[in-house]
Amino acid sequence: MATYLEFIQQNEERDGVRFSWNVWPSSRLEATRMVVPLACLLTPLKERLDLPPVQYEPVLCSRPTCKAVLNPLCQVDYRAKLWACNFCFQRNQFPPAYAGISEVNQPAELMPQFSTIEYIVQRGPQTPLIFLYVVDTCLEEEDLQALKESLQMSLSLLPASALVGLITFGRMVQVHELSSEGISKSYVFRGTKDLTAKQIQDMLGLSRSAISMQQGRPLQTPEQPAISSRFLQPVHKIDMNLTDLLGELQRDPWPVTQGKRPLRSTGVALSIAVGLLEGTFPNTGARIMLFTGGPPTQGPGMVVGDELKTPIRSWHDIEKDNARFMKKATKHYETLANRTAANGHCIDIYACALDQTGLLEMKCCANLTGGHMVMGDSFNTSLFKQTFQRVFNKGYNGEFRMAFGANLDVKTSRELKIAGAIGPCISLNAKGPCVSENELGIGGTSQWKICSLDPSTTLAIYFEVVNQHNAPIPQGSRGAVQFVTQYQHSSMEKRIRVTTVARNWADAQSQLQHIEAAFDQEAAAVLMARLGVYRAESEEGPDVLRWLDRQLIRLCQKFGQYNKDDPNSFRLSESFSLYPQFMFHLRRSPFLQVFNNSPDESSYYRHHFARQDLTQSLIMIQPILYAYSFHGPPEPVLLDSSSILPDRILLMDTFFQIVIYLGETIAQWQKAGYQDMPEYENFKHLLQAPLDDAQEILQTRFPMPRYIHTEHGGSQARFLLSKVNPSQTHNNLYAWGQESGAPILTDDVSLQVFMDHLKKLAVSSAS
Amino acid sequence: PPAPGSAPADPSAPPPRALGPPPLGPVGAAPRAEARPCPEERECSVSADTVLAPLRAALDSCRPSVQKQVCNDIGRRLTVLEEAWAQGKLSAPVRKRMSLLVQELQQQHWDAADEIHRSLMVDHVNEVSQWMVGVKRLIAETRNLPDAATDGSAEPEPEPKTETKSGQEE
Repeated sequence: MATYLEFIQQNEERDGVRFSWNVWPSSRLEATRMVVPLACLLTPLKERLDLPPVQYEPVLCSRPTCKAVLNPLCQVDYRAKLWACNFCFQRNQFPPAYAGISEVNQPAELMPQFSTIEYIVQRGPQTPLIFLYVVDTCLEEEDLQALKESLQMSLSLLPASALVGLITFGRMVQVHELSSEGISKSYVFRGTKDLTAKQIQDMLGLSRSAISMQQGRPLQTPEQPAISSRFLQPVHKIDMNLTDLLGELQRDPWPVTQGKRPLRSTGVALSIAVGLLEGTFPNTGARIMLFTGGPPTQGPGMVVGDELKTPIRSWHDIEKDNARFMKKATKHYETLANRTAANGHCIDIYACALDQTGLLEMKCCANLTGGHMVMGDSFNTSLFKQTFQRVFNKGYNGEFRMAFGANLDVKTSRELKIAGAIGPCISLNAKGPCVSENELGIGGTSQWKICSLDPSTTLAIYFEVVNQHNAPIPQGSRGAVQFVTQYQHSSMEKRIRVTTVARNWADAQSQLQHIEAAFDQEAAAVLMARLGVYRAESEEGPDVLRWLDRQLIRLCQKFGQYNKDDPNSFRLSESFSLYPQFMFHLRRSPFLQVFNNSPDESSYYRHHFARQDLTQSLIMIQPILYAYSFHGPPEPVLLDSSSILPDRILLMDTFFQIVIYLGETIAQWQKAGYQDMPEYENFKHLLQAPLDDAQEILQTRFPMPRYIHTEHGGSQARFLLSKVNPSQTHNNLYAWGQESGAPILTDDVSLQVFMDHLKKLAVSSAS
Repeated sequence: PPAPGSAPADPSAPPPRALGPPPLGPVGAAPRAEARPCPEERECSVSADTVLAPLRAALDSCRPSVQKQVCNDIGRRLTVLEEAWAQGKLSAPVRKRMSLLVQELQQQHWDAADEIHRSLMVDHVNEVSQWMVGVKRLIAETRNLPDAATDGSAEPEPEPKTETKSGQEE
């Protein structure tokens, strides 16, 4: 049997898809007994440097309820120029352009190596990309200066044809009219009163003329310069003036008395931004980029009052129902987020402050639209500056990585239905034969909209096997899924990425071992984790953990080999062996454990977890630990307290932090200054090695991780100590045969204890 | 790289009341990525004029076809650049890269010049933000001049922009 690991990897590289199961149980009943649902992680715009796009329209199945795209799984009659849709079996005529095809002259979309293929299509006029800066001026002088410089810098990084706009806010909200001459003007709004989209458009003088209403087309600057171009101008025309305008921005002039927070009208500022774009450029790629240095304290969407003695809500407050503003504020931002997503725009949040800024209430703005969420201590840090630069990163082909307005349509063969999706998207409420009544994640649809995405954006899509138990599936037949993503490329081109995949069905009764062998434990862990984190948004924390534990026990009962009531006999096959460990670390992760994090921090972590690809998601669940010592080359080691040794340097990558930890002896050598002595140059090299490796990660990842350099006994060592499996604690210090390693002072269970409990429960005939 | 002959640290060694030294390594081991002496620092003798003169010449060539206010704006910023240079406010890397930018501009390598401007904005924004947008605009306008040759790269000559037309209407 070929290794499934290779199969899994090849498929991921080619199609950007990882399934929890790669051989599918052929009946609904059996599928539910598998515990882990049939689901996949999909990276719709996975970077494929070897995939040149084709410049023609995709061929579609003619059945109106199907419209699947021609793909390598379709049967083709080259003589009669007919093809049979593999989803609905409709026979379709090839369009005239395909008259010359034959077995030896296949179009690309029929070749197996093009299971993923990209089309560039001409569909209407190209609409510009828009970048609307929404800037908080209630910042400290240094912070504001750094932010201004970053914004000025970003003007050089924008796509040349992009439109830009500027809204600043503090106690009032100012919409700046951008003109290339004379006095700069702005429209000022009170920050206390929310306005409808129509009111905003009227006040800004944006009401559409009757003519453009009849034409029903989006307004375009060259033809109607008077209407929209006052607030949104092409960057190549307005860059000098906007640079000056940004340079002249002042701190919010309203004085802040002792014991008070500045009055910050974030809710109204965002509302105006959304209304402005809604009225001028609906349905084109746009980023509303919110830069904020503190919580909203005024008007709709306020998260805390202006008295400093009233702290911003903590998890404790929320649990005790003591967060007065939370519900109303969340509703305000949810309404804005839904409107923004419906318009095809996205909202980025760049929040830099020492205290919380209201990410908990505002998170839907980024989560529903696919916008970014960046959290830092100050705009005057390299974490913010470099992360912000990376928003405008280009891929290896010199094109911007950001893409807009994606519409993902999923089709399945008739034995499967779609239960839902979890990721930075909204539902398009597309009903049809593929849609299941049982919802997992965002369900009730086979289409979702992702307003902003890049080559790493990954959705989790959950399926349901609907084939009845007594309706056997023919031997050797395969189920199929097609993912069709239409989107606006950064060059304003409209593109369509089509991925069609298939897997074998198998009868779970007689062929369980095949199904087992094709289990992808990494994908399954991330898919279950996303379900858990999704639940955690609406359920109590302990309930989510109980659910996760129950699923794990059931999985072990089904797939473990054991003798009843004999825990020591319990074994898991290789394709399942890491799964319990992933679940152990997931239970301890900041995604499910909110203790020790603020609500904003939890929202930030969950935001990134719901959109990263599999590799990064696994790092988040179970951080990677590397050890550097004189005993050999750098190597990955167990995420365990026994890995913490005095003569080692550890590098831990949690995705959000890079922690370098010097063991006790190393730290003492460093304090003694051995690295400065020429004869101990190798010690200097040893100290430098993890720093170099850390830099590689720090320079490339989005968002840039926090960099923590600490040592044995340092207060920041807690970042490492709280993550490692506490196999040695103050409770078992004198247990048998324990190698050295730092005991962790915790009452958390260790992986060993967890596994012991798990085995006991799995083999018990009482469960 | 660890010393091959070093004795492994003894895990049960007593607490470092007497802290022994780290294991010795071979002296003069292969140097790791030491910071190379910055090449820009060796040649910091770029004169202001070698940069400013070609920029002003490019600006002059734009004056017939580009809006007067835009040209004046660019000119103003070139003056800011000149003053900053004269007062020694610009670091060596900035001066060096500006001279490279100007060379690319003179050879009509528009994309390369643009790339250098971007890298300066990203790496040295606090030094260049006041005037760099003028240089950026100068590159864009010079490249659009009717008699400008196309870049050596595959970048097609951009169409005369409608915005320029509407600008002239104002």
